[in-house]
Amino acid sequence: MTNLIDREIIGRSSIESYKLIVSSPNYSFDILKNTTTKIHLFLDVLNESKLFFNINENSNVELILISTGNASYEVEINIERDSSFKFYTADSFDTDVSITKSVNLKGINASLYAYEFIPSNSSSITGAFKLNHLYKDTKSEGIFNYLSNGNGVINRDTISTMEENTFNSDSSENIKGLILSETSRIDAKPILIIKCDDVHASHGCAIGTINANEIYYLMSRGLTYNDALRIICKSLINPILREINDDEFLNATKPILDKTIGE
Amino acid sequence: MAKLVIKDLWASAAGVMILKGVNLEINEGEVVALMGPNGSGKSTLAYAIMGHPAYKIEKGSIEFDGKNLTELTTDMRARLGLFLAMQSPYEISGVTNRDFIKQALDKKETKGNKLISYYKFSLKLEEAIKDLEMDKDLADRYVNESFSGGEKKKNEILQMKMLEPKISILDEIDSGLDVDAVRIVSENINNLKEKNNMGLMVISHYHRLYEYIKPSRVVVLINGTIVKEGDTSLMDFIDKNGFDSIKREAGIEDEITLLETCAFKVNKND
Repeated sequence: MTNLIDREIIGRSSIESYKLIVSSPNYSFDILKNTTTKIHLFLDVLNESKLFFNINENSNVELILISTGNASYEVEINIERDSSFKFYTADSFDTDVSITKSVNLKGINASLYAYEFIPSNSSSITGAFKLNHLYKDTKSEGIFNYLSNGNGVINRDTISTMEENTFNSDSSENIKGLILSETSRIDAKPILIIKCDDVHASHGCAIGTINANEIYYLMSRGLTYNDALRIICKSLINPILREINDDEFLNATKPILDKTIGE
Repeated sequence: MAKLVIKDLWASAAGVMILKGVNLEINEGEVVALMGPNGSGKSTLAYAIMGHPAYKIEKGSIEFDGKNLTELTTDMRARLGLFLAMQSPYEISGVTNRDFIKQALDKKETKGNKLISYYKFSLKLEEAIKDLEMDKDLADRYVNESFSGGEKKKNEILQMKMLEPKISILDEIDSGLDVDAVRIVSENINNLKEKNNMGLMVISHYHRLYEYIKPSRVVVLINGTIVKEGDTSLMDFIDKNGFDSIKREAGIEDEITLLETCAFKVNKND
């Protein structure tokens, strides 16, 4: 793993891994056109910052972004035409922060698959995930999973905007929240803003406490209550772990999950 | 020898007394058919044995291998070697069958520090799936999610085969199964019973299941009480005559009839 310097041109290698201590206000990264790459980015956010990514045309990029630290940050990503971007992100903060992620689908056939996992057991995490369709034939799919325990508060908006002239574009967002304690809460708002007639857009949101029947079912096979709780909480990230099959994401999310559940 | 002994068991749900003094013994290697009309308390008995939090034990005892189960949590009961195949198994999204069963098996084996290797576990799982004629991909699907009714029931038996309990309670395991699936499931239950001398309490309304899984004893539960016991001829009797004559014999009136009578009496006094 290497430390990443401000303004980095990334391109053409298959897997790149960076650790970034975020202390200055702005960082920007260009992904060269015709690039296929997978990037691991581990952020330690020490000051309020903004990160920019430009994914140039005809590229296939997977970004795995794990953030910790004690300051708010924003990420803005531009996806140019014929590029696909898979964005897997997990954020774990002990202090109250605002995290905003904006993805702009700027060219024809630009596509986004986003997965966001935010757990909290003591802090208030606010902000938004914005999926901005700015051009026709663009596609976005977002899965947003939240877990709160202790006194944790998660207050997130997921906003999918389909601007004028985004014909034949498609957007879906699904939010799932699991509340583990009586003193924690999750407020999630899935928002669709549609300014064009000929688009597909959908959203869903399910927030609730642990299902006692699920716990009972698992315990009836010999798992302890804590095992059962853990396995249900882990179900929030399992589908993504299966999909990306990425050890670094697994290794980074496991302690986050353990900490939130209280182990 | 494993033995489940239920003595004078009274259990309620949501403040309503459902089991009213059940006495029953199930020994290793024995198949007990538990029959009774709808709402008689058969599933409540199954859940009470397995420690479902919705059912409160008001009185009596449940002992397994000399241990008082009412003092143990559900997982402890399972690890002692009890298994409940549920009538309506729950779905657990995001958790694969494979991970779930492996963890359950690891938990069971932890006592002897002999964890099954992942390779051996996978072989065993594949073999069990094949025995039950289930889709191979079922191991990596999420627990019961998008399963058909039949697949859910087979999945219960799959878990039973993997965990190898000493005594199993099968709550309407045949509902939702087609004729071929009833045969396949029954063969698997019988094989495990033979292999491990497993004891069974089988709850079913249908004769077909009992043609495959031969009961050693038949017990009839009505209004939360065991009112009659016998051999398989009792099952034939019920098949022909229903439960009415058994109710009459035991002096049991339908609760609805009693309520009507009470209502009538109140009106009369008016």
